[in-house]
Amino acid sequence: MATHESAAHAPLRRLVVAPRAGQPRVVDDALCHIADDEPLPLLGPVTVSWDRWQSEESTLRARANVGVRLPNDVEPADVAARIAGVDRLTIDFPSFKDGRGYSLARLLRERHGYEGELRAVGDVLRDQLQAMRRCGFDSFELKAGKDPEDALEAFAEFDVLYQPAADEALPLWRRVRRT
Amino acid sequence: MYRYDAHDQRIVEQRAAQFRRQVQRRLAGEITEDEFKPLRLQNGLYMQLHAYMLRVAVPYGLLSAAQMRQLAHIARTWDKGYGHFTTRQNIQYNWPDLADVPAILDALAEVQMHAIQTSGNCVRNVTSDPFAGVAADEIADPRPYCEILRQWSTFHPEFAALPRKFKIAVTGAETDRAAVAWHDIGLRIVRAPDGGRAIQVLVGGGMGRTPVVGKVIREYLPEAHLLTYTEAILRVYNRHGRRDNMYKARIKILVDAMGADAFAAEVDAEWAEIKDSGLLLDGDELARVKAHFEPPRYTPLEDDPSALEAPRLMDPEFARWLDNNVFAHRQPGYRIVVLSLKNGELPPGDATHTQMDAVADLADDFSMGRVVVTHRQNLVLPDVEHWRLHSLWRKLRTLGFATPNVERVTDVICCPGLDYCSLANARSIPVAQEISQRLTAFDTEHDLGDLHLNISGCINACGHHHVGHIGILGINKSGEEYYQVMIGGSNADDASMGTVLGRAFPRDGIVDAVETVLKTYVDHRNEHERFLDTARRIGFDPFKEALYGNP
Amino acid sequence: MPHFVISANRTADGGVVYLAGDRRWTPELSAAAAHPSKAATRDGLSWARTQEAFVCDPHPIKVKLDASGPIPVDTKQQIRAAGPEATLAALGFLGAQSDAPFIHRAELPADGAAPPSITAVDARA
Repeated sequence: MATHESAAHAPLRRLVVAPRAGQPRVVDDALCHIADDEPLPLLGPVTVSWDRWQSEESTLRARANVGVRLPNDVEPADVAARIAGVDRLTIDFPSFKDGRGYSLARLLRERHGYEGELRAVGDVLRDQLQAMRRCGFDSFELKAGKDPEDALEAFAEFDVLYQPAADEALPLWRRVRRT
Repeated sequence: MYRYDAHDQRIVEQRAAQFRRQVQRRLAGEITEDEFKPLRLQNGLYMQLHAYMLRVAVPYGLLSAAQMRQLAHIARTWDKGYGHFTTRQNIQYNWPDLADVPAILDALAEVQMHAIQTSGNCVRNVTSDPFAGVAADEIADPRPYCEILRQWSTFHPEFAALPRKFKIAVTGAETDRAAVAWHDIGLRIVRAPDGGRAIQVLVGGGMGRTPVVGKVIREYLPEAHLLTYTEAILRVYNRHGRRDNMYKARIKILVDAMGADAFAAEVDAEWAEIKDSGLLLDGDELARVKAHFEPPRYTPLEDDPSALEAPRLMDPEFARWLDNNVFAHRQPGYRIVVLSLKNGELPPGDATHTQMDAVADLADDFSMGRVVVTHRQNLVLPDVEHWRLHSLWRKLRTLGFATPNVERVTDVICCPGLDYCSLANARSIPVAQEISQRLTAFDTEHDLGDLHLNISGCINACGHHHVGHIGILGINKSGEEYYQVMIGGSNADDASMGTVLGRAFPRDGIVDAVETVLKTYVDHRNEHERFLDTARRIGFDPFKEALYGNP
Repeated sequence: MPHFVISANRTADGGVVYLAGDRRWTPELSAAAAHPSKAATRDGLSWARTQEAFVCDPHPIKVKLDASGPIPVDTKQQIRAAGPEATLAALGFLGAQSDAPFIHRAELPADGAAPPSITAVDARA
């Protein structure tokens, strides 16, 4: 795969993406997560915190390409009410042991009809990727130091899905003839 | 019993293959122990005091003879030749090598078994009534519901990292033998007012550090909503359960903090959103799974208890065994037989590979190829023709499984304790063994009757000490083992928690203390009165006085 | 005076090991290096933590020293050192098998210059 460098920007991130249709793969990613006390760069894709989005929404809406970083304990209905037109959300996994992000993702996708990018960030490890994808995540910033190419294998480990989730509206027994 | 289809089979095979790669990455040094730990825990692999321990799921306790033989094979091939049946109807192996665990998982997959979700903060193995399907007082067989829950919870992507572990128990009988009130979710199949079947839902029960009896949050859930409603409970718990303190992370703490009514209202609000989702169990799926649990083809038999009178009279040991270890069956002419794994010599719940093989043969020969693991750490042959009981008993006696003590004082529930467990504070097994050796004669002499004695080596309560009629809890006092004595617990329909009688006893005093408690009972009981009823009637003071003197 | 030794469980089989003076892991507590204080275990512990492919969870344990070597102070560590009181093997329920040492079949990789020597036979069984 070709890599390209952009002198003016921070080094590109290697991002795992798993679109709903299509094969998971690793791509270069230039998304910048902007801290609350930092000004936004003029160009390029960025995210801001949920707090900042709520307090500066109208200003931020004037700039293209602004995504919102959600903590995992927000009310999905509150988020849904304020993110019309936003096409990138991240949900934080403060620890791989904290599974609230799974429920939040499913609710945003399945109940509130969010269709933009949904990215898992934080303590994101290879062995969670399939569950995250099933809950509606389609991009994954692996924890620092983890090999994204290696992580792709995780998506192929299981291909029988008992339950409905964001990726599949029906349980196994409604999809196949079970004998 | 349930037979895997190609989909079920593929899941357990893929899981074994995944774990093989994870073990390779660990042994190659590609991942650290910190990273590996959650992966091995999701496969039931713990690090204990002296070795790894692998916990294998026995869904709702039910095994075929072929599965039991495979468990024996695993014990013989990859462990030290024995296994331990647990209070959650599972089996644990105490000595596997890490590199062998993938081969063990493959061997389990060959017989439609696995170790999926036997540890970790996820939905664990669903437990049930050990007499399911054969109990005389059954309203509906709980196992189809258990199996449907097993499949729904297996790799449920949303509930892979709950605040804490999550245990579900299901019963379908009038008498609760599955301790449903002591589980995160307890389900009872009941008769609805309209005459049909429904599910009573309890939530927030549990033992451990903060023992709580579960609360009923729905009296009559239509069975088609088994999964929609359970998913709603889990979602509320996953989103709102505490994660700041592992000792306050179980659902019981959330239910208690919100109040059962407010919790139920929150569940109902969530349920309203998903009631009509794909998870609604249509008749076809329920019927498909129920068909796997159709009763076997019983021989039409006339029930003639007098057929056993002659051997009963000739052999008082046999008579005692019949009275204690044999239970009524729904089918005329059949009986349920409990094999005691508490003969006083082996650690409670342990069985050797030769014993497991022998039980498998007995299951084939006497019980249509089925065995059940009970939460009291015994085994059940569920379908025995009553005229063959004497012949079965003779075989069980040779194997050491005929101790006539089911639900008596020497049928001790006992966790592995500090002999194996890295969480334990004190040993449980030697205490259970000493109790057994010292009290067998006392029981015979005084006929102590129905008496549950439960021992845990720490506050996590794997030995269910809170609900023992007599409970013993091992504690650590400045690095030494001590034991608290409590009485008055019950996990049956009259659920209650035991009360600690006073200061703890050292290792060499605990069995004397139990004997003192039993003597006090014998002195105070009315005719045919159970220990638990005597304790409830006379209160704790006579027991305290006997143990600690008059202050 | 309490002393301290460094203990861990082998990654391959979970077996209990102790750190000897020459940075060897040994299943024999009597061969473990004893340190006069917890602080004195620091170097050994930080080295031990680099040996994660071979051992899990290295930690100091408190011991008394007597003629036969270190003896753990806590019951838990005494049991860890001695093995379970009541295995079926110890009780003779497994017949001939109980007399044979339990062979751990996992082979441990060597570690270049300073290989942790780990005994592959656990005679405690």
